Amino acid sequence: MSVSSLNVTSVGAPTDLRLPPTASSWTAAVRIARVLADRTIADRSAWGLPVTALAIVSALTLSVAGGVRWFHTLEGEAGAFYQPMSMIALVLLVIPLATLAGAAARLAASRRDTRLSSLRLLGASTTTVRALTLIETGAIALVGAIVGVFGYLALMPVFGLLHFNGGPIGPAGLWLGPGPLVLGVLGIVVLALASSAIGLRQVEISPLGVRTRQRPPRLHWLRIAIGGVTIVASVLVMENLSVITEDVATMVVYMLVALAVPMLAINLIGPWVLAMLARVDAARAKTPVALLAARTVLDNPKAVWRQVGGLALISFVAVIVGVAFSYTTGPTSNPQEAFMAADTRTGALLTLAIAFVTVACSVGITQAAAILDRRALHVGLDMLGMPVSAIDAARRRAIMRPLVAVVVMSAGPALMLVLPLAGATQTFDPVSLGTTLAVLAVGVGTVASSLLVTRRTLRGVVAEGVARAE
Amino acid sequence: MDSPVLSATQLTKTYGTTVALAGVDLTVRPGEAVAVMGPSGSGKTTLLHCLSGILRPDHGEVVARTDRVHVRVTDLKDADLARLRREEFGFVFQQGLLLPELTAVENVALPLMLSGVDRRTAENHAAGWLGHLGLAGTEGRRLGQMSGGQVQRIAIARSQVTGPAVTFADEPTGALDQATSSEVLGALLHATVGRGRTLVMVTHDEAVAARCSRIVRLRDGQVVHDTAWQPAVHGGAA
Repeated sequence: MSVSSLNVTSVGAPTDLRLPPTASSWTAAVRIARVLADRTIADRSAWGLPVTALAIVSALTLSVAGGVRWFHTLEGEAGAFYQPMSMIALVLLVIPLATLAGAAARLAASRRDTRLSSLRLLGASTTTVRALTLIETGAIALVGAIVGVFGYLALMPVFGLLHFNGGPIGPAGLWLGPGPLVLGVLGIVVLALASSAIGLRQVEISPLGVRTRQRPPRLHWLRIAIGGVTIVASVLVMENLSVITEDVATMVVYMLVALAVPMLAINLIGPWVLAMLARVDAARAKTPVALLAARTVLDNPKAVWRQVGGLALISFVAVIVGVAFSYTTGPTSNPQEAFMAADTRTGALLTLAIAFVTVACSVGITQAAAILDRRALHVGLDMLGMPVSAIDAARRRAIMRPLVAVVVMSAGPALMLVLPLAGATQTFDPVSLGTTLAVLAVGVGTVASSLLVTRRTLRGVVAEGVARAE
Repeated sequence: MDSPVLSATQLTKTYGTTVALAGVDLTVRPGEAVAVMGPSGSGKTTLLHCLSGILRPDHGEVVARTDRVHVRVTDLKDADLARLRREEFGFVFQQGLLLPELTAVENVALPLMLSGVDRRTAENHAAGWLGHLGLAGTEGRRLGQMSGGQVQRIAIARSQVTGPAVTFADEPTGALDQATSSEVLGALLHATVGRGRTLVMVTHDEAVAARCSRIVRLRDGQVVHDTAWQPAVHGGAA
């Protein structure tokens, strides 16, 4: 059709706008974000999963903080007993919760590739595009955190039923107050922004598309050196606690640090070890499923670690809980001792339950997002004749294989830490070992269940994709 | 004349109230390069998908007759269809749809491994195909390190590695510049009809269609034009 044949009413072309000489990238980003806000809200796939994940993180974090606050209202002997325990639980839960928040933030930042590259094509600077991503991630995190506050309020009566110190905590016991709630919400937003900013460093946003840098960041061997040294240092501190200090409060602080540091060290070493094992797996793979699984891990060991790293914590805690159980299951005639022992078990199980939920969410959300992000590829592979079951098996193997490594890698240092404190008899006591193994089985089962749940997403995506192919 | 490698009879397919195919009859003989053309929404891709067993038509039947099988495609169960697509048909899509985690040779070897060939044999054969398509030396490279044309040639190698009787291509050069498009099309024709195999290709590009032996035009789900058979122009291979 020629232009002259178009039935248009001639109104004259608008005169050219005088463009401002320079525009701040952030100002431009704010303006564009306002224009795109409606689109963002309409596109549920862009915010649904991250908001859900951040709401869960926020609800659990606030609930844990509420619990810790309640323990700190206890006075006297009870306070001296419960407060260090609650701090240990808090230290143990910080990493998985922060990991889940980070995964959710990355998810929020990575789901608008086409839009970002289109903006670059229109001349938006990299800074504007990144600023826009941070603004949108911040908004998503804020919504998630606020939804999480409602989740926390809904959970208060449930967690309030828990018995500690001879009675229920009660919903009111978990109330943090408006100030800490606002701080909690802001904390989640800041964490999400920080994770998003780190994640953005790993993508190139060019007018031709947004893509992950083709050469995955190499994992330096120094990771394992630093990790190893810190674990050994922690063991030495634990072994010589009474030599270092005689003050009980200082001793508790040292213990908390000695617990937290190996967990950080495991996070440092973890991706490196997973990559090393996957390299061996890839070289030895005989089936397409094994090959694809190993290559998936090698492609981004840090991403796999982010999903399974939470189990590192569970394995780590499982050993400690196992030993704690062997201490607390013995007969006692002192009622005070009896309920303190029961409370120790309740606290340990509660910590583990929260950790399980966090890990399940991390795996479920990351896997669901990965399936949705690779929709076209999965549909295409199905068309080529690659069975969905093979795609699914490779995806599950890429998570379950590293799990074994994670369990061994975390239970080992935990044993090294506990042995000097508890001694071999207590550490390898049947109750202790049985509890440890049961906890690990539930942990592995939780991850496996999350993967099975997302299988439905994969099948749905493939079925829908084929139907939409025309 | 050889018996047809594909016969479609009275294919109909609707999506809700939209009629994608309205009683299409099509016979494809071995060695033909058939370009399926037509405006957007004319039913080209639906026809390709029904012929290859990706979609089931509402009515009508598709029969495939190759050296190894003689089956009514429309009657096969899902698992058998997947195997047919993997072993008897080859596919090349506009986006390549290769696995970014795998190296070039692993991507090409994958269909063979899925059919039970051991990895070493599969990768040796895949490397042979990469070499045939001018990609020797790229075996261990990842997709991100290669150009669009190279990626598409890897997709062609993958489509041919199982020795398919028929290759289906959906806008295989749609995302490439003119020079690369010509080169990739040459490679595709060389790898298929150049070896006596059959190619069925959906395209919008008249220049691409002109290099095929036959052009079938669709409109509103019906064949409105079908050219006579003439040799495909498969020069310019890798």
